[in-house]
Amino acid sequence: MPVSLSVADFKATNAVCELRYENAYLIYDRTGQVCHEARAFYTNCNVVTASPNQTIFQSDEGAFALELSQCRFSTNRPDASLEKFAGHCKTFFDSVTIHLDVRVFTRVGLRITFRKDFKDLEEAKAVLNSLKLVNLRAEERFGAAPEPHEVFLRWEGAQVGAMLRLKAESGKIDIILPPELEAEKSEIHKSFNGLILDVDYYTVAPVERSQLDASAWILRSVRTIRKNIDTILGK
Amino acid sequence: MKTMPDTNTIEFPKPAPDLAPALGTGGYRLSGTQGPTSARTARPVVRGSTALAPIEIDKLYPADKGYVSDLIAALGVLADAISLLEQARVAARNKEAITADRYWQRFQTLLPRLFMHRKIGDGYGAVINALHFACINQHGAPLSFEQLTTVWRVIKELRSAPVTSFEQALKYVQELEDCRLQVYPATISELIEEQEDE
Repeated sequence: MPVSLSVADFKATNAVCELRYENAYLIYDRTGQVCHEARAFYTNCNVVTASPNQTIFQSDEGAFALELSQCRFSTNRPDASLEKFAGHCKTFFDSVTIHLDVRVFTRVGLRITFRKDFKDLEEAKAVLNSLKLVNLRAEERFGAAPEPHEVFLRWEGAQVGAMLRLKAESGKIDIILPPELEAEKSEIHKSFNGLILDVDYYTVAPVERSQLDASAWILRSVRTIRKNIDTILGK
Repeated sequence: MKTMPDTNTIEFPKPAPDLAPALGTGGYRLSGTQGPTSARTARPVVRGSTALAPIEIDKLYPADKGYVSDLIAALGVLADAISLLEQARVAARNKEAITADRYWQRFQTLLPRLFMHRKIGDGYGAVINALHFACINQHGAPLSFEQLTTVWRVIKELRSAPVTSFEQALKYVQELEDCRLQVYPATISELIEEQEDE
C-alpha cells in the first residue's frame, strides 16, 4: 500500500554547507587568522589537523574544514530550523572569504541528511518501495533483489541543482565502556533501522561574493528542500 | 595525487575513511557537498561550474512570501523599485514629466522599506542612505532622464549583488553624485564646504 511521507516525519541528523572556489593561495598565509577568529567566536574550538592545504577544527557547534579550494561547516546535531547552523556558517564563511580574498564561488552547496526510524529494515525497505520513485517492475535484478533499497536522483539546470538519495538502512553501535567509569553497564549496544533521506542542494552557476549571504541562502534553501521533498514523497 | 570528483559522477570506495563520516554508511562516497573531514591533499581543478555568468539572483534566492529574511524581503522591494523607475524613465523619455515624477514619487515611498533591511550590509545601507538624501535634497524637483537612468541602474546592480561591499557602494554613490544628485545631508555638505574654504 502506498505510504504518504512528509519531510516532517524525518529528523535532520546531519547538515553540511560548503563553498568551493578557485584555488585561494592566501590560505598559506592566513589560515591562522581564520582559526584565531573561529576560536573567538565558537565554543571549545580547537584545531584537529593542520596541513598547508587543509585545516580542520572542531568546536561544540560543529566541525570546520578550510581547504585550498573549498571550505565547509558541518554538524551532527543540527537545530530543527537550521537557524543556528546558518548563523555559524555565515560567521565562518565571512571570515574565510575576507581573509582568503575569495571573490567568486564556483559552487555553494547545502547537504542535509534526514532519518526516519522503523522497527526493522524490511519495513524501511517496504516504505521506500511504496513511494514508487522508480518505474520498474518488481522482479529480481542482477540476481540481487526484486526491489532497490536505495534510490538516487539528480536534477541539474544551468543555475542550480539537487541530488536526492533515499536508502533503507540498518546499523549497529557497540560501545565498550572503560572499567574506570565503574558504570552499571559495561557495554552499550544499539541497533537502528531506518530510511535515510539525503539531499544535496547546490548552485551550478558561479556565485559572486556580493550575492551571497550564507545565512539567508541556507534558510531559503532549507525551505526549498523541504517543499520539494514533500512534493516528491507525497506526490 | 587525488583529483576532485566530477559533480555528476560517483566516486567509488576509498581506502582512507573520514575521521567522522557525515554521510550515512553507503559503500561509496557521493560527490557533491562533502563531509567535514575528507582527507584530500591537492585539488588542481575546481569543478562545479563552467558557466561564466554569475547566477541569477532570483535563482539563488527564489521569492518566498512565507519566509521573512531581510535579504529576500529587500529583493522584492528592489524589484518593485526597478519597475517604477523603468516606468519613470519611459515617461521621461516621452516627455511626460508629470507621469515620470509620479513614478519617481512612488519610488520614494519604497525607500523607508528598503532602509528597514539595511542589516544586509554596509554597502547596501550606504546606497539606500545616499538615495534617501538625494530624494530629500531634490526638494520636490523632478529628476531628469539621465538621473532616473542612473538611479535605475544603481538599484538594478544593487539587486543583482545586494551583499555589495562598502567600497563598491561608494562607487555607486559617486555615480549618483556625478549625475548631480546631492547624496549627503545638507548640513554635512555645508560643513565640508566650510572646511574647504578654510
